[in-house]
Amino acid sequence: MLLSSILATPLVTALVIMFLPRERTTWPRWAALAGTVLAVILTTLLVMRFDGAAGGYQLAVTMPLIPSIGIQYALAVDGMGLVMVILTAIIIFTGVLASWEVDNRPQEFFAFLLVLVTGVFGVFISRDLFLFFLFYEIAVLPMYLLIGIWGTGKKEYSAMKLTLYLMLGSALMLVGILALYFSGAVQNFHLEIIAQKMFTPGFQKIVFPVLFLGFGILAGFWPFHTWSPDGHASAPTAVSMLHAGVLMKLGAFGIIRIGIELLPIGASFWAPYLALFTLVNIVYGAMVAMAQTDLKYVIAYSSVSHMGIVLLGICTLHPIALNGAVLQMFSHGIMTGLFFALVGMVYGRTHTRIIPEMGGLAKKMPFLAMAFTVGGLVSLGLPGFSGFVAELLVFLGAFQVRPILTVIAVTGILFTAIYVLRVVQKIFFGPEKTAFAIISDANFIEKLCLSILMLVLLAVGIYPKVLIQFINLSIEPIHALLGAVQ
Amino acid sequence: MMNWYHLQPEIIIAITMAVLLVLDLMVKSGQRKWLSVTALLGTVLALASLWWAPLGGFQQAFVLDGIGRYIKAIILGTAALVILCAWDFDLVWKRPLGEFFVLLLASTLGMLFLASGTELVLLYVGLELATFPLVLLTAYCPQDARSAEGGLKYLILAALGSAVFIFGFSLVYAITGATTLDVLRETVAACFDSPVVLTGLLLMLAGLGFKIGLVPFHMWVPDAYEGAPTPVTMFMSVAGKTAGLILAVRILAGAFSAVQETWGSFLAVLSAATMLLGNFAAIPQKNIKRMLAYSAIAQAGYLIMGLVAFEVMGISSMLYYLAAYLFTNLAVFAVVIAVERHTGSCDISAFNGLAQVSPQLGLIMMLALLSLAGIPPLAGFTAKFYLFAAVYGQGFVWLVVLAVLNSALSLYYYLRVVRAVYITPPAANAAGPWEVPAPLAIVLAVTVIGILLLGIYPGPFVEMARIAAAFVL
Repeated sequence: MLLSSILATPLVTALVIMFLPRERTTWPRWAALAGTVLAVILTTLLVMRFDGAAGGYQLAVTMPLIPSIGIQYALAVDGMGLVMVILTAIIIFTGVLASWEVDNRPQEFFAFLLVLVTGVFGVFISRDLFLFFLFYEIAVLPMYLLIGIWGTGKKEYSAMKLTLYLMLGSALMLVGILALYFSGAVQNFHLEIIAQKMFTPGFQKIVFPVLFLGFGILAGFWPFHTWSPDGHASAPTAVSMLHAGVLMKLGAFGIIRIGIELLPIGASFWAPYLALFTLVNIVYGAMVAMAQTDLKYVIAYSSVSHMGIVLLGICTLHPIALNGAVLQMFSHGIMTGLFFALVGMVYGRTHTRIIPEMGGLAKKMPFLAMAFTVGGLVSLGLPGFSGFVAELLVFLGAFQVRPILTVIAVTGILFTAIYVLRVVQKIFFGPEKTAFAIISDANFIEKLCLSILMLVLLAVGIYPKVLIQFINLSIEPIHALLGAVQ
Repeated sequence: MMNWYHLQPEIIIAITMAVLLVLDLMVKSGQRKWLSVTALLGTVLALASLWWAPLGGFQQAFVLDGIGRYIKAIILGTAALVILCAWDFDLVWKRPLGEFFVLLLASTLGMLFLASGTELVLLYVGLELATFPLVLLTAYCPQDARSAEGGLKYLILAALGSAVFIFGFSLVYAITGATTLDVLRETVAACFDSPVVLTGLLLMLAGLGFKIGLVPFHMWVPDAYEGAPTPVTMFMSVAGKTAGLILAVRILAGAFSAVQETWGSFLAVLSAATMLLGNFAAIPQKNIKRMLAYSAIAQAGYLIMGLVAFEVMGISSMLYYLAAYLFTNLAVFAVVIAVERHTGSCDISAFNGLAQVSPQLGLIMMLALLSLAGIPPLAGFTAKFYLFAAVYGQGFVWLVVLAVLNSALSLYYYLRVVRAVYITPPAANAAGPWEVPAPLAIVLAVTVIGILLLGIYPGPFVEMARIAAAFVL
């Protein structure tokens, strides 16, 4: 019931927004805020109801949807899903705050945004493959309109590119899902029933890469990442936040939940080769980010690099690295949300995103400068923030399996440090530019939005156990599964 | 012993046609709406009669079974919605209304016979009765050159298709000496390796290909769809395709189930070619009706995948897909009609800024297009998922891979229309919100509810399709 209401909250809010009177242009954002606050409250309730000692899938709901082919409305949440639900709730709440000033067709904007979030919540708590796939596609499609209408720059190109790439990914996924469904004697889409099927090693080796690629496209897996910088750079602030912050995590989540949990033999077979590609993600992403002059592209490529760390953690199949990968999914989600919110706020004041055109902004907007510095420090993995813990865990785990690879991957952090510090220095410090003489610092809403994100980063950095205890509940069974096949 | 009760829907439609012809002579020009009311009432009554008409048949020639009832519901439902869309056809297209409805119902009547025929001569007569009124309807606006051209092209190719079909039929008859499907099934099983029978089968399939619009027999589709008055395009795209498919099901399941492997792989290749050509050719189109024509070709490619997977899941998924296609395609065309009434144009650019001018129409258009593309939680998604699953289950993995890639590709041109509707700003002189006449608004409401219902709560409908499919296997 609780899970269904988490799912229904954004959807109902979106419907309500669609029926608001059109001339009331400020109502949609208040309705959206109310809806997202409710989502946060329900998520808090979920955390309280979740039994950390018991583990496994909890609060399950099952209702037949198409009984004759074994499709049901089945929801349940486990530790990893819980952490992702928390992430989504935080990002959508702050995302609505960051879009407070959207005045071009606000009704449609907030409605589409909330439909998208419904899909995201749905993926994280689905226990049925059909439902999983359904929510996955719901999450992907509103993006086209959100970028196409409210985006900037070459928005229509970026929106189409993003949508087609992601649809290609879901085409692969669908083939993989059907393969899982038809294999074996029982034909049912419930994940629990599929998990009990004994897939032959040959089958797993064929199907795993199909699913990995399908999900990997959304996770920004190199060389299928090119939609992401364009998409993120063109998207409006809240959409970049949601997309880089949560949507890319759907891909990584899917790889763990569907790929590794259902096909452990296929995963062990392919992981060493796939790890090489993730290395390119990390190092190449960071190097390209270094070369960018558009602030939003810097952040977008840094997402490619950071998602590489998540994927590397996954591909090592080591329990510590897997814990780190999921924590990095959370940490990067919040961090990139912070970054994109900041970029939006800076752009709203300076009307430029070109780094060399800015400078000395810290004097005019000290709060934004401070927040940006915090984000930068998380990004380069400073101890005390969540990014450090997450990356440390990934590299610790990875080093035990693949030491040389890990050493190369760590150089990515070096490049990250260079570009982050350079960007902070160029934008906020140095000589003041006369063009920006009359700009102001963050207002209350913006400060609230940024403070929440920074506090989360700090809290998780200081006391990571608060999330690790949940994440590990999901990783332990995977570890056992992988141990059994190796 | 003939039992007329099985023929109730057909009889009601025939009577309605006669009433309409008489009424057309009697009503004054200000009272034309009574023609529309009569046509609608007759169709709805025929649709309702499906509920109480007893199942059964006579003389091995006609049978009202589960699948026949399902298909007739789709055909009559389409006819009713098309009549609503053409409610004041005479005002918009400046052509007489009475003949229009009579021709529409004549075609409907032919299709009803196709859904129930189990004898080849009856099926052939039904096919001609279904096709030729449509040719006339396509060319119903002769002052529009495209309408005349579309009609002429349709006439020639429909005649060719019929000729090919009946030639195949005569070859089969020459060897087996039978025209009823029941007898054919046994004789074909005995002599299925005869090259003459196989040639006959392939020719009949080619004839069916013309009717359904499969590549390479699709040439008439874009011109006829573009040229025909939009309500006619609507009817052709849904009812015409449904009738062609049920004919294929009857003949293939009834007479040729013994040689399923032969026609199964033949249809798989046709399906692949059809969806590829349809989707690629739709991309550069600038006229929405022409784009939808190519999209309809692609959809025909998906639909016959259900025949490739020839068991309960396959046939039922095809039937479910038809129901989803009915709501989705009719919704798209209803919006096209609404836009056409206001702008007088069927170019995609006529849809620019529709979401701002008329938010409801814009939303419906987007939902319908996304449903065509197979995006959840809409009817088209569930239908495609079910269909692809059925085909995968029969081992045609390559066809499923091709079909899902095609679905992703099709999103490109559907999104181009969504872009016009939502992203492109409206033309300066487009004042909204547009008024939509009540009959058209009913069509929009019914179809949108259908799209959402079939997408969100598919269980009972899948069950209905499975029950219907079980009758032919």
